[in-house]
Amino acid sequence: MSVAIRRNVPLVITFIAGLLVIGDYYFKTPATVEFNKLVSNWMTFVNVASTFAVVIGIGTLTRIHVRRLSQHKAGWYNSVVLLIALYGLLITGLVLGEGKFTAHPIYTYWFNNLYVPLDSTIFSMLAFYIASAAYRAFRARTAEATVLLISAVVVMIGRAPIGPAVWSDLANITNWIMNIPNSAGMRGITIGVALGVLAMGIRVLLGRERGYLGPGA
Amino acid sequence: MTIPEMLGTLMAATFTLMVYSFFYKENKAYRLAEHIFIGLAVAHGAVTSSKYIWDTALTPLLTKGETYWILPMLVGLLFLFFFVKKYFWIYRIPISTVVGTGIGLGMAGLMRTQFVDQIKATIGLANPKAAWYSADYLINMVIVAIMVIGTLAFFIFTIEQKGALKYAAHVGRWTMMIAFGAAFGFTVMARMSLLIGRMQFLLDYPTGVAWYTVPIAILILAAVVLMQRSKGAKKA
Amino acid sequence: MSLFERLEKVDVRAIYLLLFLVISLPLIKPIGMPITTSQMTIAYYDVVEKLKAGDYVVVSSDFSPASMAEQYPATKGTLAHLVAKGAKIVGLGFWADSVPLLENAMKATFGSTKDNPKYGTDFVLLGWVPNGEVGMAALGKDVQTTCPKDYYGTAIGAIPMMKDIKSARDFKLLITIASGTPGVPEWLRQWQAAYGTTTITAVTAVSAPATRIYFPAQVGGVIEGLAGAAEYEVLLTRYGYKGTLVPPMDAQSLSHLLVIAFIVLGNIAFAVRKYGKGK
Repeated sequence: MSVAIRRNVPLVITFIAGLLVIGDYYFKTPATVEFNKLVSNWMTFVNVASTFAVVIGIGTLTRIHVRRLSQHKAGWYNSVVLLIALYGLLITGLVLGEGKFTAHPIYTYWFNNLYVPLDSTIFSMLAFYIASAAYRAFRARTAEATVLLISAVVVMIGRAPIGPAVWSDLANITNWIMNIPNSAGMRGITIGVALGVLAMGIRVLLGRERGYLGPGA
Repeated sequence: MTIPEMLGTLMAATFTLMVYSFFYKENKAYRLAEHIFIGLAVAHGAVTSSKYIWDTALTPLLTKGETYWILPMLVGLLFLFFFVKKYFWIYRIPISTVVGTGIGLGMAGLMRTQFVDQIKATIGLANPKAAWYSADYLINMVIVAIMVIGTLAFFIFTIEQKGALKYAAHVGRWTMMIAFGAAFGFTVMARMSLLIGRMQFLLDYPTGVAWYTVPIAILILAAVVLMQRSKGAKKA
Repeated sequence: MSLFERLEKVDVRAIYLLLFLVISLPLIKPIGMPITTSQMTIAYYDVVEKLKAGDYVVVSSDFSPASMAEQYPATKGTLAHLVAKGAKIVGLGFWADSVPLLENAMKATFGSTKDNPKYGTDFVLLGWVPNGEVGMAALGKDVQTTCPKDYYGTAIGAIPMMKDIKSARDFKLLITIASGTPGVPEWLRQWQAAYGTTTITAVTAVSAPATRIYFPAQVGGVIEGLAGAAEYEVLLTRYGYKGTLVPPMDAQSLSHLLVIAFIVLGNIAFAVRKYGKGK
């Protein structure tokens, strides 16, 4: 197939898909009922197609770790464990699940007693890092950094029960910081980001931005 | 508590402590737990996706003969060309359908939600009964409007920031410092909450069984520290 | 080495140990600091209070086990409140690993799910909907096509409470327990802005500052992290709800004081080292 077709077909698909949903979002009248139904079917189509993307994750992970295993690289036994966990849970859900998938009691048992504790523990490690960063890295070197730290300290005390217990007005001061300067700053950033996303979206739909298509686009 | 429940809780507690062992020193127990988590995460995504495909596409195809469901599944299978260098361009077809649809929907909605509605909220009506710290107290509304304009002015780089624009940008800078300080305060709150959740699980005494693993872990840690100290003393 | 130089170079493991102790001790021996309710949590509570028996509510769990500590208590409290108001609960999730957590919360609230006599008449779990914002848009347009079966494989047409539910317009309230993307902005774009659906949310504390800008015009109320969930439990005591967050809030208070102490100590050591060099 010619290079021109290979390069341009995905861009045309992106453009048409984007226009369809934008049109559907803004035109919902009795005259456009059939068009709205078409877009509804299109969205279901895309939902089903998108779920297949998980095969890339399974394939990549399997390829990397089988290679590590076969070449006996450092820590190859971790790759064995990873592949056992991956295919073990996959088989539990798809084969042993009796058609119940994640609702099967055996699947739920492993999910609740292995996956949930590991996921929540790995993320809870951030608490230790933030405490060590607070001690070693957060320095009031400039006036702006000082204001940032003062705001942080007031909010930290004000939002925990100890703040209002010590001084009842602290909750109101925290509320003021959150409702006024915080909301103003976040709102300004949100409006700016919205304009940026709009500009980026137009570039993607018009084919000027091709990073999402992967290498060689 | 039944025996499987007890074993499950002990397994959860053991893996929790294996992850926390990283804080003493990076070690094989932590690496093992990390690799198990990655495998489980990808597997769970795959099982959940399979259920959706079964319910939405395969069941009507096989039971009701709705053959049009073959089309989205075929397009989805094109993702497999990610692994074939020669035909990698075919992988771009399903990617472009997903990205085009997603970005179109995002753009359509954000003009109202994150632009017009935010501007409307900035220039809203004051409430005479509002509390002094409220966003709809008159003086606060004026302050918010000034601060929002200042924040937007901070990000204007297409013209030189001088005169009124420079002062507006300064207002924006100070506004963002306070906002980021508040964000940092809430981030600390969030991270501490995650740790508190795990500690609550580990120290659930006397109803839970996870707390049995804590003194065992402390003893193992003490033994490791003593062994390392004696190794260090021998070398010296 | 002076005291302040030694303080600056302290072993990071000492910091970790101190944090572990500060958090563990109040969990073993709670202090019982009073929890005062905030404007955001009261607003969230008030929106649910306005529901009438039989109103349909979507509860979307859009969080992962990583933020479970903050959001699972809010999920259980929300379900208990909805049950007290007699609302019809339609549970689903846009994060694959959140749906089993929502199932656990439903089991904690109702005792069981699929085998419960009220399943299908008072509450239902539809499961995972893929593709984030596109999935939300598709769900809003056509619930039955987007979720043809529930989490347990029952056809949606066979579920009594879902027979007449076609689109987002059939729901009185949307509650999203969100911790990232897809989350609050996506729901606001596809449901609140498109259909005018009343929306409230329970977010992680990290997302709370960015979510405030949507209050009150777009989001009617916000539970902000674990503190918000604890405040919500206090409000739910009038329905006989037994909360579990007093000891964690004590731990939260002490951990915040510890972080503040670290910041102050670190800055003192830094300032003494930097400005004391001239002497």
